[in-house]
Amino acid sequence: MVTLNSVTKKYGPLIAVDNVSYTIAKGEYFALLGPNGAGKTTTVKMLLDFVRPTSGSITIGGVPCTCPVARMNVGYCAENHRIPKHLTGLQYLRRVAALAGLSKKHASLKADAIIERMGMAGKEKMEARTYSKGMVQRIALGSALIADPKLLILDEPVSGLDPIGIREVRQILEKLRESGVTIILNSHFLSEVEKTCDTAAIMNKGRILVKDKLSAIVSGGESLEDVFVRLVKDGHA
Amino acid sequence: MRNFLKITAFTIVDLVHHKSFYVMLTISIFFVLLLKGCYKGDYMVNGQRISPNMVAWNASIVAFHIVAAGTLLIATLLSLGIFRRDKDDGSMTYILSKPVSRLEYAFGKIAGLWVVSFLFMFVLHLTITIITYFNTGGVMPGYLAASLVCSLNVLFMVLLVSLLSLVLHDFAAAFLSVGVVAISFISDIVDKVAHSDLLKTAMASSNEHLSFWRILWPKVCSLQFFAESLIDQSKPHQIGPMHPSINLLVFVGIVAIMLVWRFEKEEI
Repeated sequence: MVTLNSVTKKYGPLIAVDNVSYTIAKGEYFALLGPNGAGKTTTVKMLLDFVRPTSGSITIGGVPCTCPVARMNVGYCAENHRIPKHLTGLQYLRRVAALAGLSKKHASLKADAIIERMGMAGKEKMEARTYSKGMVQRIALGSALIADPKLLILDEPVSGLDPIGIREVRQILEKLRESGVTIILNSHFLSEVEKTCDTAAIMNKGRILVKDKLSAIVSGGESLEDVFVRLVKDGHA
Repeated sequence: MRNFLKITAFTIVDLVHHKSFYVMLTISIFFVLLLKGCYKGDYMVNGQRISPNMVAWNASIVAFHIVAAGTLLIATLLSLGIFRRDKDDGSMTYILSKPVSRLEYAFGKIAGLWVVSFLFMFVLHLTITIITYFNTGGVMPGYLAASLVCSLNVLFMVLLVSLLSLVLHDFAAAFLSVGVVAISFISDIVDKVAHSDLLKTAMASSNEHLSFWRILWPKVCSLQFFAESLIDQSKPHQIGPMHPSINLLVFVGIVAIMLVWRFEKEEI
């Protein structure tokens, strides 16, 4: 589904992502882990063509990610997602749906359904400037789901959500995984990752320290957090 | 193409959503309405009474130029930092995470800005036409067509400001853009005055040589003179071999290509 081939991203002398190669299979629930500044967000931004790699290539469903068609079935929820303050949640969702190619009528129906699903009923006509961080996050996640994506890219999706919200998001993602959606999760919530993901990669200083099935990474009685701290502190990069 | 139209529509909605836009439009219409005063009084020049229709005609042409030039400032204000604003408020992220090319996005934004700025100008020109009609009973042929011609100037300004504010601070971008237009006005007005019958008679041996840069410079002012010639059916004044509309179209093309090239490199 997603292939990164020797991807490197440099900002002047700083190497944000260093010769990263891996493949994420269709239907996989993949976690991208790493400390702050590891290169996770840069990698996600390269998947969406927000940032161009210095070298290497990325394909989504066999299509180079620089081609807009590659984003046809992609849903994205950014870290600290921002919604234009003058738009209401409903207007925002309708716009996202329209850009994803849905007809006006279908976009409207889907937006209404997403508002209900994300627990935002009654608040959909409030301007985004009045939303709390958790409400913005719910709308952001809803916008990622609105066009029934085959690939979901989530950058810290539960950031700002209360425990009930986190549980609801987990349940939604579980259902999506069961329906065959590929999910890329970029998160610091290791306990959450341990509960939900199939495979994971741990990054540090732009390089992949390990990429394997989660069961293989945490074998030997260690928790994911223990493995994460050991690998990062050992300076495997 | 459909994404381009959608982004254009979003941009128009976002721009006209601001109350400040309506405040600006209302103030501008109010100033245009002050023109009514010009049509009422008696004007005497060298002891001769000037016909009110003649005064109204000339006042309308002066107002045409003021509105057309003023709209360039409105276009500057609307376009300033447009991509930065979109990046900051999350618009760029939600649009470009969908199957939308950067080309569609950039041109959709530009088209939205152009439409809103042009409509701003057109409404004011329409107001002048209506005032003139009610005060003189005559319709000024070509007035609204002249407004349409000036929309090319507006497009040039929108593109220039958008490009410069991608690479410079907003203040510097505005200063440079207004500077380009100001130089065009000074250069073209000086040339027009130098070629006026009065000055030609007074200075029979005036130097006809025109600097190369003045021929090549964006002909924003000359295009307004050309638009004026549509109103009063006069022979348009032209600097150099190229028609001002062709000159502006070439510059619009160049700036648009530079904008796309620069925006393709932008990191979001």
